[in-house]
Amino acid sequence: MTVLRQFDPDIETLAGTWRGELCTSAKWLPEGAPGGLGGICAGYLVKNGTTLGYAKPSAPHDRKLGQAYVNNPIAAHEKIAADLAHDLGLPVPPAVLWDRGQQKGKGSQHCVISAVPFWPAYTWAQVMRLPKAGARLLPLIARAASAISVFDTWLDNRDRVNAGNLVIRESDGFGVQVAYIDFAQSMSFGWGNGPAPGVIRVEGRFPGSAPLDADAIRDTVCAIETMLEDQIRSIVGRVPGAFLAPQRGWCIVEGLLRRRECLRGEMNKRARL
Amino acid sequence: MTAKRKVHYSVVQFRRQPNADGAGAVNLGFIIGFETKQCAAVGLAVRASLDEKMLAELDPLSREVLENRLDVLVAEVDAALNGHHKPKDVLRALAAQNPWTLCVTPPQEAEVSVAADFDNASVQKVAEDYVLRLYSRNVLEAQHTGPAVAAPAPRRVVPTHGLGSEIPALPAPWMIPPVVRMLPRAA
Repeated sequence: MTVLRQFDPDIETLAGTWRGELCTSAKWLPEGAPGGLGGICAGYLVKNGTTLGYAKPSAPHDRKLGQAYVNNPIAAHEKIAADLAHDLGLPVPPAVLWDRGQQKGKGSQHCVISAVPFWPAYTWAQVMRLPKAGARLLPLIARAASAISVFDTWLDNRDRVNAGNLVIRESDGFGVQVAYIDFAQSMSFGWGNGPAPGVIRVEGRFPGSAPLDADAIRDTVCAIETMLEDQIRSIVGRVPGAFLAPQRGWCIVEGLLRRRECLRGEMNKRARL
Repeated sequence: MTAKRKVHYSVVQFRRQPNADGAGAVNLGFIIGFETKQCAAVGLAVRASLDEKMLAELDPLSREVLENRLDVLVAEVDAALNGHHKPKDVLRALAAQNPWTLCVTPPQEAEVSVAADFDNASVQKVAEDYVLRLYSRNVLEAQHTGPAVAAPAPRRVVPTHGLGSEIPALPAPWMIPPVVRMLPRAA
């Protein structure tokens, strides 16, 4: 059976909590130096009790990367994407904003924490090197890959080319579990202060060799179309100004509302809904 | 005559539990980044054998990843080479891309004493020498090695690839000879 959102029960409990909670009040301890893992977003692992998360500063502030990166509200993007995905039943790990307070040393004040959704967890980049596993798993993740292609298209996610942004687990109890991560380069990353363009590019399935599941695409389009406008406005509008400037917030809300109107038409061209 | 050389290294771990600090992890080897007078390079040294009992207890995907660890890691190294000219940057990219169960730790730096004619050796030999030197320093053990990892061999002197310095011996099956990739020079 193909899978969609199938996280462990404790992660789903956490997801419910974080859907209602905007900023974490728990004490999270960095494991290793903030930014120690490198990468554009300079993420690092954090821990609260037995819960492991992946923290990212809201903006990397590395001017060499270019203006789109410097002003990119990464934490807000991750939180908004996680909340939308939660309500749509899509396999994106729960996320919560994290205000660390003023930092004297290395490390940003405004961050986001995404829960590590299951363990063990392998990136698709690692799995794709295994011919047997690839052939065995591709049909099983068709539904998730097809559904996320709709979500990525709606959010204008431009970083699904990175094979590290799909993590996967195979277990006796759950079968196959997947999580699509990293929405830093979505929404206002490309839209700036707006207005956002309509849907001019349809994101393909990731991995591209996963079979097409037209039902999953159709169901996801329907779920996005029927999401209440107030629900979308609330998810974006409640993000504090320290994480998302008002103009950017307006751009994201209007972009999401505008783009979902033409989502079916563009997906239809690709998937014949 | 000896000289000092800097080498960067990251440890490759199989993290059985989601411990960010790597406690209880099985160390699979390490990735080194270094420069010689001729070139910059990255080397991957992977342990040759794993505990069969541990493998048998794993889920199918974990088992397949570990059984094909060399292929998986070589592909990761090759992917990380893209766009980088400094070995440390390659190691940082590898750490950023591999923070989960098959994990590459953030790079650390070590300084080693080498023979004066060290830089005249082939890149492969230099990589082998660095691997042996780092191994002899127990860098793997210092990374919260779990019980499944073999204990390091007692130090003893062996022939030294013509590099003119003492290198401790390893138990023969422990490490596969390093795979080495050279980096393009910056334009």
